[in-house]
Amino acid sequence: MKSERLRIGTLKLRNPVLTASGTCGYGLELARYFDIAVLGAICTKGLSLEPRKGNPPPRTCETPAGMLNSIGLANVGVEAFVRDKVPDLRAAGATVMANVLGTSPEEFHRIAARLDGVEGVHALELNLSCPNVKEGGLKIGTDPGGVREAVAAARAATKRPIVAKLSPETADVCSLARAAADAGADAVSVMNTIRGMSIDIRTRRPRLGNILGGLSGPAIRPIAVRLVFEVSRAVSIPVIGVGGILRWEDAVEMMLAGATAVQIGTASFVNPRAALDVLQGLEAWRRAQKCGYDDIIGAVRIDS
Amino acid sequence: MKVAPFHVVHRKALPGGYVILRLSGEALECEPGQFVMLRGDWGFSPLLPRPFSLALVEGPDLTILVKVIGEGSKRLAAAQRGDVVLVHGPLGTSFRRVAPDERVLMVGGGVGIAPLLYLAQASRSAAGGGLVGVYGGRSRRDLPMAAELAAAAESVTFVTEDGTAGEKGLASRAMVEHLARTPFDRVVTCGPWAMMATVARLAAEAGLPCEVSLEAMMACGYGICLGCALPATDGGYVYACTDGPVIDAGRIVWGDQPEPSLGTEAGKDRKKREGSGTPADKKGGKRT
Ligand SMILES: Cc1cc2nc3c(=O)[nH]c(=O)nc-3n(C[C@H](O)[C@H](O)[C@H](O)COP(=O)(O)OP(=O)(O)OC[C@H]3O[C@@H](n4cnc5c(N)ncnc54)[C@H](O)[C@@H]3O)c2cc1C
Ligand SMILES: Cc1cc2nc3c(=O)[nH]c(=O)nc-3n(C[C@H](O)[C@H](O)[C@H](O)COP(=O)(O)O)c2cc1C
Ligand code: FES
Repeated sequence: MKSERLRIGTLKLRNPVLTASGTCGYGLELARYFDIAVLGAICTKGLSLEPRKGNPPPRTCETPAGMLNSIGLANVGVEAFVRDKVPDLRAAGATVMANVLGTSPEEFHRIAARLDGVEGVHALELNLSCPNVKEGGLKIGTDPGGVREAVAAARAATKRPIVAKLSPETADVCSLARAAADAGADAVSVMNTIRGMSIDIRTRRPRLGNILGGLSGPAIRPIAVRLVFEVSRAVSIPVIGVGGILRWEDAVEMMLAGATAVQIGTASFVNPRAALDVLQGLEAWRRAQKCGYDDIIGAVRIDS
Repeated sequence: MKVAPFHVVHRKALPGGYVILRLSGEALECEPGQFVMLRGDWGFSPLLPRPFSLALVEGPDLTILVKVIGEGSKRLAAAQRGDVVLVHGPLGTSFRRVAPDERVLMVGGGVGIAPLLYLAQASRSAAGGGLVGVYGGRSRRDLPMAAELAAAAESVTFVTEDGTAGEKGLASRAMVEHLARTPFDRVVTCGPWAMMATVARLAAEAGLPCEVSLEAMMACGYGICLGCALPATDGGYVYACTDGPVIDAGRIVWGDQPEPSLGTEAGKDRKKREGSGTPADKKGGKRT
């Protein structure tokens, strides 16, 4: 069954299953486990203008039904990404969504400009929501004015499809989504991690070197489903659902809530083939239901 | 590569909260020093797999030495014959094989013995050179698989802090004595952070290359989360799962154990060290 809705701006998606930024390296790490070309897209680790070494350890700890991380956006930088990773991603036939980490509208502009026209980079996802950097990140992403400026700055630098990744840490995510759409984003993704903290009671120390970290995994899934539900009713551009998806059933739930596509994050730590398993399960279910993806997106039944 | 289901074919509980598991599945190509990420098929709680060194690999059988620390290791240690364990690996770097004419000093502490035992067994079966061991723990029961190590290495000096087995004292002292007695070409070590820090320093002072097997909190174990960072001498970080676990000791900043501590006692010990300046390897991480 053909889908009309599986697209982000000019990019037609092969299917609605993507990997989430920061949970699949640069994509190539997963290529040892399965053919990454079969996914809707690979969303890379957040790329900054200069390489970043990240936060002091420990950077992760497990929490009930999830985990905290304070990676601090360690990455090779946009230049090294284009030079060292993109050729291999192209050779692998992957659809690549480069996750962009700016700390100011100017930085979003410069990184988007650097990626514009790079063969093998198909779309950009702007990280407007990382809880792990002091500058930019959350600040830009928690206020509609900040979101509008950052998206507009990137928009001015590229014709590639732009996805604005929104923070859950605001009273009104819908107004952030509207601001992103107004400024020219082709889609929004929700959600990034939400800040949390864990303390080792034996040592009385925080379990993360950075004290606070972002919570991910099934613990946040109901929040992500709620946000997708609300945001998809507030804007007309596609919404990408991300947060706590482990199995294909979770992807169906996210799509029923209103997601056009989903991203698989923490699940890939548990099982390197998680994204592929979700995709195969989803396809099998859809075929058994004799329906297309377009029939699932936003099809939650609400009796009024 | 993939995550493969293995079955527990043998389980042996030892005093002190250690369990030896033999897992059988499809044969993997492994090298001493490599590790696997393990979970039982217990659904999604605990969620993340846990890293464990390979203590021995024989055809399709993997031997793992588990020390019970928290929920994940407790569940693994409770696995019974026939239970499924999901194995992701082998992962990470390995020890250099011991060449026929080489003399290598091996210093292990607690469960840190696992990868060293594999190295000793592999070196023996490959007709390697001399591998001399120092194996330390708090007390007698903190020297799991001591007999296996004694059988695999040329000789082993056992050391306990309370003197309940072998010499009384610290592994580092036994190491110093060995270095004074006979010439060695290099050193390999695995154990609590503080012990490895001391071993690395002593090896450097003796002008010997030293390979360490690192521990860090790991979410993925295969390089995609960037969680397992440890401070490196080049000013950045090394990643324990891909740059390690086996790495040249000179690449690591052997300051305090990255806080918060990785083990039950390490935080306390760190404070004690700072306060009184007791030897760095007195106690330490959870591998003792
Ligand atoms: C490469 C590598 C090889 C290892 N080999 C062995 C082995 O052969 N035998 C063995 O018994 N243990 C080994 N460990 C340590 C083992 O992975 C941890 O003890 C285990 O993950 C703890 O999980 P848990 O659920 O029982 O404890 P949790 O409840 O997760 O944690 C309890 C405590 O242990 C600490 N901890 C948790 N995970 C780790 C970790 N991955 N590394 C270090 N500290 C941790 C936490 O900070 C906490 O203080 C190895 C670790 C690494 C990185
Ligand atoms: C270790 C880790 C690193 C992450 N790094 C990034 C990042 O660089 N950029 C970004 O936009 N999101 C990042 N995220 C957020 C994820 O992309 C995703 O939004 C979040 O984890 C929720 O999905 P999940 O529950 O499926 O993991 C990271 C998440 C984790 C767990
Ligand atoms: S544990 Fe994930 S990168 Fe090392």
